[in-house]
Amino acid sequence: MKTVRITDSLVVALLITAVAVAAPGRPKASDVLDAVQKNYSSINDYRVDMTVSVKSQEVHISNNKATVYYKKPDKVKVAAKEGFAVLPKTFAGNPVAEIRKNFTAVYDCADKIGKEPVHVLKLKPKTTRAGGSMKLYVEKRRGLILKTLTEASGMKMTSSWSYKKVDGKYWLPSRIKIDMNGMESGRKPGHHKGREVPQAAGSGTAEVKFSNYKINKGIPDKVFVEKKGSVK
Amino acid sequence: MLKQIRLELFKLTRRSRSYIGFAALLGITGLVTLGFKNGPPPFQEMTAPPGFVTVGSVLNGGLVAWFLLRFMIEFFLPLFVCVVVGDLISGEAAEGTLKSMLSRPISRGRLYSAKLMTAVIYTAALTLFLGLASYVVGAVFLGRGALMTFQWGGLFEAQGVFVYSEGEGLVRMLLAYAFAALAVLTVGSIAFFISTLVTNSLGAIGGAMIVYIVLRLVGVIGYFDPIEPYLFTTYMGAFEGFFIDEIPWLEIGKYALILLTYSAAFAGAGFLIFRRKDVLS
Amino acid sequence: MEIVVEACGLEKRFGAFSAVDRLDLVVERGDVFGFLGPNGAGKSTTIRMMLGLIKPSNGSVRVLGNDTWRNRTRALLKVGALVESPGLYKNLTARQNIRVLSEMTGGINRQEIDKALEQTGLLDRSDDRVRSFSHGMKQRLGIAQAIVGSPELVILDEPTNGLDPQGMKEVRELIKKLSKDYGMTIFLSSHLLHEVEQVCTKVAVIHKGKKVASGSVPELLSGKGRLRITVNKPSEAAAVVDGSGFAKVDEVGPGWIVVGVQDGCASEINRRLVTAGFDVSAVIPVSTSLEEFYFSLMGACDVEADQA
Repeated sequence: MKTVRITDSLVVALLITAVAVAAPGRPKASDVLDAVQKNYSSINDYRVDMTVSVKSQEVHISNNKATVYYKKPDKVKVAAKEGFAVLPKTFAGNPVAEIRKNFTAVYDCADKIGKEPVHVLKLKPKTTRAGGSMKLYVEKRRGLILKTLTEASGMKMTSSWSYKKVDGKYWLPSRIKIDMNGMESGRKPGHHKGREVPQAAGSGTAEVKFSNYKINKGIPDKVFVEKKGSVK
Repeated sequence: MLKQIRLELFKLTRRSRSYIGFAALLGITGLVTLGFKNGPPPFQEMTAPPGFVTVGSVLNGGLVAWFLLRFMIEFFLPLFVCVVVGDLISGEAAEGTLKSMLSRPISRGRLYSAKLMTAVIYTAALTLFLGLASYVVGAVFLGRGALMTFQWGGLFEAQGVFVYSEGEGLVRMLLAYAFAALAVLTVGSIAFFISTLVTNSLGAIGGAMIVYIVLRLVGVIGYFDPIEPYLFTTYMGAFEGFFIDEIPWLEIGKYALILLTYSAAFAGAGFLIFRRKDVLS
Repeated sequence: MEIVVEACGLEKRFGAFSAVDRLDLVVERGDVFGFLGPNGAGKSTTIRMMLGLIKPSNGSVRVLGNDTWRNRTRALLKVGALVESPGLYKNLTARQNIRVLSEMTGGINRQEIDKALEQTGLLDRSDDRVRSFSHGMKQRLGIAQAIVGSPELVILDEPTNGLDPQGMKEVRELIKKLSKDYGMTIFLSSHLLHEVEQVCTKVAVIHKGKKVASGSVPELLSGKGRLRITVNKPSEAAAVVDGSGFAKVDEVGPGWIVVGVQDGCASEINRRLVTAGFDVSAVIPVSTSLEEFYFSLMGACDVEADQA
């Protein structure tokens, strides 16, 4: 199995259990992140199967499978199940650790997604490598990341996270949907030989599904050791 | 009829000429696999499109099979098919066996049909062999796995990178190779047609390849755009449709029908000649 | 007698060249029919028309009752043929060569193939590839292909071509045997007179696409019967013969004359000479060889052609 450790780029999904953010008045961004971070406290390790599908102008992925391994405090590894895996960049590593490492977080406002009250944090990248600035929507009730909104170089990307309760106690992502709205591409929209040509370059949707969580079953460290020559 | 086809296939298996294509395709597959394995990975800049990260290696049997299909259908597959198909009738005329066969109480139509079916079977066998050989050789030396392919415009104006799971990739690959066999058959049918006219297979092979290459050339020159839709060469690359996420069945079907019509026209013209031809050799 | 091959006004033109010109032929069942002519006379073209390999420009050939161009498959149902040099698959064995040809039109069993191989003396080489065969062996294999399965009509186009004298003799014996023991009708084309003379019961001679003579071998020669008459006073005897109106003196020698007569007139000539008071001590038929006849035909044709 060819594997790679993902460092600065993103992880995909990560767990969170519910902890209410108890803060009278205007909460601090770090309190919100702490609340998200706390969700890891009872998870030492987990592995989960991931299926990626993307439909966009220039990227078309159908059921690309990988397995994600996580171990406290911040070991993450994605192993492709069928030779390779193409993953959308969203978040990296342990979300909170990655956020704290690469972004400056500021509390923006309280909002609602549907009927669910959320905290909205503004994340500004410390370096250009981390990408554009983004908004992070964290559910007040359980401390779960529900949504991210990224805008960078004309590209607008929204990720929406769904959760399910695993082993009766852990709220973990079951699906992340990503909508991408890209810039106008250089090519003109129109018809060619009867087919409509979509107008924007990076526009499309991506979906990452998680299944078969195995929590706290123990993962040996060697899983996270990079094999030589496995990086492409 | 089945008996005649069986006899034709038996004769085919006893000719060294029949194996040239298989050996050459296997050799080229080996070369490509060797290069992929030991050289810098191909398509590097495309394997991780902006906004995505790729882990693992996209190099595997599927990629080799896809790459070789794209490459070989341009020249080598038509050539190696013509080498055998263009010899099916002319070769018998050259050896004097055509007159022996036609001195038997078999109708010319039946013999022609058996030869034509042999041509179809050979074309399919050689094309599918390329798929099988490239997939297996690639899988042995590079591994198996999901399929990554790329397109840049073309018949379907599809763009970018396409990734399928191993199973789905295999099914799509098989469909693409089946279509490719149909496409190559069109060139083969020209050779088969000429084969009824000449007593030298070189004429049939050369004639068909010249027609093919000239049509390809005409297809890329803007001046000839108005006739481009009528050239069968325009549609030979339509196997790429099977690597688009939503397979454009209707268009592929249409193109397949066009190719089939060309093949049938050449085969039919060959029959009209063969039916009344004086066998003098 | 049943007619096996019948050509009527058969013509084949290649452009302005007339390869076969208004040819009529009749071959009856049981005949060993010699088709005699120099190389390029149109023998192979005729045979190809008999097999439906080429389309007659005019006229038709019927084989076993069916037109060979319009109804080839039925006409050739019980025909075996060797056309010019045998067409063989060099990568196949002798046995496979027979099999691929005969299996096209229904199966053939091993015994029949063995028999054909044995008759042509190839049984011990039957599983060798034809690639290794000598010219003569290939020729014999071609004959084996023609006779396998005991067809009613066997068409052999120059079957002894390229064979050594021993091989030629064997092939001639085989042809006689096929006719005598198996009742096959044989159509044999050849440019070799003695071959036709030795083997055939009937002959047609073709020259420059035209039939110039045909009939049974004795028939052909009979019209030209000659007698050598030993007689006293040959010069006077010659005058009597010439005066008879039905015989002509060819030669006058010391004590003999050679007279060309119509068939059956020998006794009449004898009677007249005796009546006229000559001493006739012997009347001996002089056999004209087919060869002499043939060359006289060819010569006559060429003279005609030159004059025309």
